[in-house]
Amino acid sequence: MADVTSSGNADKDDGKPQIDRNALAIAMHRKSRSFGLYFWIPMIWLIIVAVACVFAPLWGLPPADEIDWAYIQSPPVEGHPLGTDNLGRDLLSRIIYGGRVSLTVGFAAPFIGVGLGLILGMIAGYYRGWADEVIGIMIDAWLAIPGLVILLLFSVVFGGSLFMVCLSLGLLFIPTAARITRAATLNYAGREFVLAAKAMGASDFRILRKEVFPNIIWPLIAFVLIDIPIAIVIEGALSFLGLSVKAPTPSWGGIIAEGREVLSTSPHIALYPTLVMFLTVLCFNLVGDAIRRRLADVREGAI
Amino acid sequence: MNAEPGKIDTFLAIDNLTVEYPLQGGRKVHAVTDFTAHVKRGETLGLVGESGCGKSSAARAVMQLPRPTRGKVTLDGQDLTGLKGRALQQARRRFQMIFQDPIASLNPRMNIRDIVAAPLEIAGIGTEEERTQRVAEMLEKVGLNADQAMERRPHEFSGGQCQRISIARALILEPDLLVCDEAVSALDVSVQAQVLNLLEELKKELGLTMLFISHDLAVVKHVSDRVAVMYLGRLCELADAETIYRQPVHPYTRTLLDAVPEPDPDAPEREINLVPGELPSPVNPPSGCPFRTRCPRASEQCKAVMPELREITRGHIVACHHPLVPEAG
Amino acid sequence: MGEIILDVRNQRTAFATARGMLNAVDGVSFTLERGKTLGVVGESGSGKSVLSRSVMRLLPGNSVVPSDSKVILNGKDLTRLSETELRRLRGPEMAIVFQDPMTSLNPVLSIGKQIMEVLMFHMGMKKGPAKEKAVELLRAVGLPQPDVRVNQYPHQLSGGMRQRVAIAIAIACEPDLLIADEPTTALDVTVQAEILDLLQRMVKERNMAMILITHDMGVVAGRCDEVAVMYAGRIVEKAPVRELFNNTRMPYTAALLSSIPKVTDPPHRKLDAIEGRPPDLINPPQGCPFAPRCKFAGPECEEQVPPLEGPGAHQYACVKPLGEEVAA
Repeated sequence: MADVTSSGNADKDDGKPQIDRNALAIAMHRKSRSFGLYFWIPMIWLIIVAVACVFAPLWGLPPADEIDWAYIQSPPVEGHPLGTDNLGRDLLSRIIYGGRVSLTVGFAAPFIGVGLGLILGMIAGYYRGWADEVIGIMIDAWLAIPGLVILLLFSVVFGGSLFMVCLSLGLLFIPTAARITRAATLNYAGREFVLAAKAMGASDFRILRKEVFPNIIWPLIAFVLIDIPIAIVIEGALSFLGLSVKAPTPSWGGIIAEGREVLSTSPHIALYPTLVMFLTVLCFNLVGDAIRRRLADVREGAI
Repeated sequence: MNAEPGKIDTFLAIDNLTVEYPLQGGRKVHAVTDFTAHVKRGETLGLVGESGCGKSSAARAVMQLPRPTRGKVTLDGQDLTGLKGRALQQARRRFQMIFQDPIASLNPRMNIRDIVAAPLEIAGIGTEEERTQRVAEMLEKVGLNADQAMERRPHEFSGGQCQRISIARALILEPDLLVCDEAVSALDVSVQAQVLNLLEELKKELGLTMLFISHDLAVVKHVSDRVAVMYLGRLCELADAETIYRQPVHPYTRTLLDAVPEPDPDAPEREINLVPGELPSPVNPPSGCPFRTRCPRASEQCKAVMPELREITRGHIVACHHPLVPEAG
Repeated sequence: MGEIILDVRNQRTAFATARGMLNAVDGVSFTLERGKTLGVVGESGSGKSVLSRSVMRLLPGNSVVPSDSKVILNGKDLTRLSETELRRLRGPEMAIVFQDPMTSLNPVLSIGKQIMEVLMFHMGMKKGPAKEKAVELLRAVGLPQPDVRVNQYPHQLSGGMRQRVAIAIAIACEPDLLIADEPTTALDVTVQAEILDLLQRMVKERNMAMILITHDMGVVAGRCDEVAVMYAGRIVEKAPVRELFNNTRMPYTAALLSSIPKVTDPPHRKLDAIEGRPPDLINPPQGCPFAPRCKFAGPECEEQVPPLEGPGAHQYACVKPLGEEVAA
C-alpha cells in the first residue's frame, strides 16, 4: 500500500558539514542569550560609580564639607572640576561622598527587606496552616500602613542615622519579598525531593536550608535587582525632603535640594547630581533586567 | 481482618488504613478507606489501580508522609503510626521510598554525591570520606560510574539514570522496606526494563520487602509476589500474582486486565465490560460497593450493602457480592 | 491502492541548541492513504512528536528544516505555504489531538464555544447552526448529555471527557488527516481503550487518514494498518502491523518488543532490557544509530547509515536483519 521513497540514505554528509552546522547552531544559540551592549555599557558606568564612591578618600579630593572661600557657587574651574555649591564646597567631592550614602541605602535596604521577608516567607510557605495565616495577616496589616508614614515616623523618632534610613526602607520591602519567597517555597515544598528528604528523617531546618533555600534564592536575587534602584530613588526623595541623613553629610537628594534654591543662577549644582542619579538608576535597571533574563535560564536548568 | 493467614510472618502490617483530606465546607476527600494488607519479610506486594484510587495516598501513609488519618502501620513489630519526633526520624532509616518523577526527586542544586550521601549525613553515620566511599559503592551497585557521576548535577542525567540515583539514595541506609510509587512509570520501556531488573536484583541481594505501586498491571506482575487492586480508596481484591491475573474474581480486576493493550496484533479482541460513566468522586463515594456505578453485575444489594472482604480461596481476598467465579469450598 | 492523502518526503527537522545542531527528525519519508492508520512508535527522543509537528508545520523558532524536505497534503506542498495559508488548512484538511487535553483546551472558554469557534472560522457557519453542530459532534464522540456539557468548561470534565472534546474539535471541520500525538498517555487504561476505540471509529466513519503516535507497542498492535518504528530521528522499520509483529526484521524493534512487560508473563521473569541509552542526536555515532546497543551488531554496521528498504511493504534499515542468517 504505502510507498516509501527514501530515508536514511539521504545522509551523504561527511563529517565536516556536520561540524559547521554544529558551530552555526551554537553561535545562533549563544547570540540569543549573550549579554550585549545594553548590559556592558551600563555595567561600566556602575563600576565607575561604585569604585569612585568606595575608594572616595583615595582620589585626593577636598573634604565634602570643606569650604573654599575663593570659589563660592562657582561653575567648573581648575581644582573644582564640577564647580562648587553655594557654600563653596567642591561639588564633585559632594557627589562622590553623597553616592556612598545612596549606594549604601540602595544595597542595604533590599537586603534587610529580603532577609527578613525570606525568613517569614519560608516559614509561611513550608509550614502552611496557622503560621501561614498569621504571617499573611501581619503582612496585610503592614501593607495597610502607608510607606511614607513609616518613613516619616522613623525619621522623627530615630533621627537621620544612615542605619535607620536603611532599616525603615528595608522594612518596606518585606511584604513583597515574603510573598515571593512564600510562593517559591510552596512550589518547592511539594516537590518529590523535599518529600524524599522528609522520608530520610531530615529535620525541617535542614530541608529549608539545603533543599528549599538553594532553589528559591534565584527569584529573590532577581527581586533584589529590582529593588536596588527603587531604594536609591526613595532615598533621594527622602533626602530631598530633608528626611534622610542629616546635613552636612552629603547625599544626592540633599545636594539637589540645596541646588534647587539657586537653580536660576547656578543650575549646575542641581543638574550634576540629578544626572548622576538618573544614570545610576537607569543603569541598575538595565543591568538588573539583563541578569534577570539570565537567571530565568538558570532556573530552567539550562546552565 | 482474619482473612490474612500466617500473622507470625507478617513484617509489614497495614491495618484499617484510612486517609482523608479535609476540604472547605467540612467535606472530606476519602483518599483511602479501611485498607488492610500484610506483607511477609522479603515479599513484594503490588498495589494497582487507576489514577485517583488512593494507591499513592496509601503508599505515603505507610511512609508516614503524612501520617494516616486512622489505622495502624506496623513494621517488624514497631508501630510507626505511634512514633513521634526523633523516634520517627530514627525509625525512618528502615523504610525508604522511590518516587515517580525521576528528575523532580533529585534536588537540582545539589551534586550526586551530596544527594546520595544525604541519608547518611542526616543519620550521622561516618566521616565525610567514609560517606563518599559508601556513595561510590552504592552508585556502582545501581549501575552508574561513580567517578563520573559524583560531581555532576541531576539535569546532566537521563530519566533512567536519575531513577538509579534515587534507588541508590533510598538503599544507602540498608532499609528493610522499600516503597516504590510509580517508580518506573515515567521511563521508556527499554529503560523501564533495566530499572525493573535492577530492582529485582537488589531486592534479592539485600532481602528487601517491597511495596510496589503502579497503574501498569504488566509491570506490577513482573515484580510482585502478591497483588492488591484498589478502587476509589478501597481494596477490592488481593491474591498472589499468578492467581489474580489468571483468575480475577472481582469484576473491576477483570475490566482492568481486559483493558491492557497487548503488544500482539493477533490477540483476540476483548470486550471491555464497563458501564459507561465516570469514576465517582472520592468526596462523595457511592453508597454500598464503590464500583457499583460502573459494574455490569451490580444489583440492589450492591447499592445497599458495602461488601465485606472475604477469603474465597486460601489467600485470595475479594470485596464483592457477585464475584466472577463460584466460591470454592 | 487508495487515494494518497499525505506524502512526506525526506523530512528533516533540526534544532539549534547550546551544544550544536540536534537532528530530531532525520530523513523520514512515508505516504498515507485515505482510511488508513499509520502507527508511529518510538521512545522519548526518537523524534515521533517532532515528526507530527513537522507535518502540521507547528515548529518552534529555533527549528531548521532544509528545503528538500517536503510534506505534501492533498497535492499541496505545505513547506511552501505561508502561515496564513497553513492556518486555513489546519482544521478542514489536517488536525491534531495532543497528549494533554488540559493544556490543549482553553480553560476560560466553554467547550461549546471552542468547537463553535472552529466551525465559524473555517466553515463560515452562523452562531445558531454552529452550536447545533457542536452538540452533534459532542454526541458523536460519546460525551454523555451533550446539550448540557456544551456549556461547561474544561475543568468540569474528567481527563477522558476532555480528550473526547479535543477529538470533537479536531474532527469538527472533517479533516482528511488526523494526527493523534500520544492521545491516551495521560489517561487510565480503561479510558484509554475507549478513546482508542473512538478514534478508530471516527477514522472509519469519516474516511480520514490517521497518524497515531505512541510509545506503547500495545496501542499500535490492535489499532493500526501499518506501523513505523522510529529510533534516533529515523524510521528504522516499517511494515503492515501483523508483518511487523510476527516477522520482525530490525533488531531494535525486536528488542523493544521483548523489553515490554506483558500481563501474560509469569511473575518475576527477567526482562530483556536494551542496555545503554539512545544516542546523542547532536553527535550521532557513525553508521547505524542502534549499533552501539545492538546485540547483533558487527563492524559492517558502523560503516554507513543503513537505508530503509526491503521487499514490498516491509522495510527496514538494517545491514544484518533478523531471520536473514537462516535464509543465507
